[in-house]
Amino acid sequence: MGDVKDILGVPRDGGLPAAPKSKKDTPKLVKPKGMSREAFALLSGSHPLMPSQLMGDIRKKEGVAGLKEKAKRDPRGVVTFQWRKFKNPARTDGLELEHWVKCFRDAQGRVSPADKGEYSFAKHNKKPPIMRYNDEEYKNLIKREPGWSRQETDYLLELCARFELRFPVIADRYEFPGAPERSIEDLKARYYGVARQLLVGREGGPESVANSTLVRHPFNPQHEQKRKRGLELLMQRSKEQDEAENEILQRAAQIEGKRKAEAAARRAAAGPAAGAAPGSQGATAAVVREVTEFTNEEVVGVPPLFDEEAQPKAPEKGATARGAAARELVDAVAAKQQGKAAKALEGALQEIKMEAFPRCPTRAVCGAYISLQHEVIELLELKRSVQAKQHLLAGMKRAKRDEDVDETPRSEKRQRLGK
Amino acid sequence: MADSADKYVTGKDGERRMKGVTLTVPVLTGTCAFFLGKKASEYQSHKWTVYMRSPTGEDLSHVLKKVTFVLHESFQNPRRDVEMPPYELTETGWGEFDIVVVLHFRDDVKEGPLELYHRLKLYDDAGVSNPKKPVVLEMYDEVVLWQPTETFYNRFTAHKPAPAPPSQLAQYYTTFQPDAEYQRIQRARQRLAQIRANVENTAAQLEAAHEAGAGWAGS
Repeated sequence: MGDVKDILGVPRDGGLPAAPKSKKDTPKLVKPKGMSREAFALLSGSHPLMPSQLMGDIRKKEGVAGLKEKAKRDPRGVVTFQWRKFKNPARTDGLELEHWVKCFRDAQGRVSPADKGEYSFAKHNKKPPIMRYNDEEYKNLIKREPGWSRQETDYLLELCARFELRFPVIADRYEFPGAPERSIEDLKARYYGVARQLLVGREGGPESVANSTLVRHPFNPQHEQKRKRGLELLMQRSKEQDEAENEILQRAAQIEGKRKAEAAARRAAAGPAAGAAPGSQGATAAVVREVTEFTNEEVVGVPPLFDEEAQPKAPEKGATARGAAARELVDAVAAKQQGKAAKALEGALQEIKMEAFPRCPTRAVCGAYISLQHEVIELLELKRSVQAKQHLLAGMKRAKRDEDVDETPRSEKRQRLGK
Repeated sequence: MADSADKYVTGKDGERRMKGVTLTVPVLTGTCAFFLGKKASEYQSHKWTVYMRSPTGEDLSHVLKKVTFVLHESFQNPRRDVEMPPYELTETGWGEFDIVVVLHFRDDVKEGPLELYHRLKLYDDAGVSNPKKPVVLEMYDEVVLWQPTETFYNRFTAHKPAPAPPSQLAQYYTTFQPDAEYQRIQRARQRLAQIRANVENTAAQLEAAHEAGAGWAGS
């Protein structure tokens, strides 16, 4: 019974208050924040829990990981929501509505809204600038357009201002007596035409307002109509049409693949037994490239220096040190290789004992060494691409195998799982 | 006249130059350093000579007006001109640095000076200092004169090579085998070409396997 009383916090000896010492012996177990319930349940008397008050200090001092800090109290007070009246300054009729507003109640019990200014959504009430003309401007600046009277243009501008250039709405509400059916494009073309003419006319020429969107991107009704028609066509396609087209594309891909395979087979057959006996001397010798030769002789018309691919290159100056120039070129090419490629180049040159620039850089030696470096780089690139392809192929094979393996024993697997 | 247009180009001072012609002058920069042994002090441990010579032992004064050796700034008067062959300069010091060897051509060459860089080598790679055996480093290079002036070209081609004045360092000169070096590089390139062919074969097989696999999977 004593335990129960302890847990309930009732003093053991009837109504008598317990001595402070006994309170200390039975510290109240409080689960620290951030500790899972299960972990807490594992703790027992042998692993006394630190009072959470103390933990707070440790947390602050040592920044115990995984234990979240207590939420700070908001200095503004306690959050409450209040049903309040509000006015929208964007409205002109002064209509008042009510809604819930986030407020704070501070220590003195005063309640003040979190957002002190005017209605927060009023700032989104943006009005686009509508170009309007007076009588004189209409006479002098606006080009007459067949089918558009002054009255109808006035009406259009009125609607534009009222619906803030939302042309679908304008076209929907458009009702001018005696006017033909006007599409969105017609309305847009007229309005933007008038606006551009006004802008240009007021400035006196198109140069000073060349950066304005109205001038830079004049509205093109034909383009817009074409775009909408195309879109409509695309959206109207039926599911059957889509499927038919996909099927054709798939078949085309299959035919392409077959052709490629056939071409590859032909190539393999044409090369003397290249596919049948890989690595045999006869097969490889057939494709070994000739190594270009270089001479020390200076031929008239052939410049004395080399470029990165060991092609002759004219020097920039009349007098040049060929060895130094070649060494510089080789260093520059090596510096262009990045990361792994740079290390691979260095390693490959060391492997064939060619990492040092030749001691006696004559014309032939320079040309040969530049070629050598170029060829090593090319070979390394080729090797990389082959390796990538091997990985890809291995991945495909694995996927294929998994597929094959998966097909039959699926039911067995399920049975095994069931057991 | 058409012939002369084919043969010559005009330089920036209006001089006639040989179109597409290259003159090659092999040159060699070298340093030869003696350890001073017992006489070595902290700042003067080595006696060294920097020189510029022809690898074939020819006299180069028909091409060169003078050679300037630009030493480290810590030397007194670091720009040293040598007007006559042998183009040599001897100094004492303790540290290795890059020496700039500036070749000044004769006036009819009509080319600016050409700078060659040579690292002074005092200590051999083994780190042993033997007062009797100098540390020699020679670097071969070739001065190429692209489209030389007609006057210099005529003088150069008519010139009969003369031996360079004897030098005390001649016994330490090293030899160069450009042909052997060229053959070594070419052999390496041939091996590379073979490896490349092998790799290309592998690539072709892979390609075929890939396409066969793709066709198979697709059908």
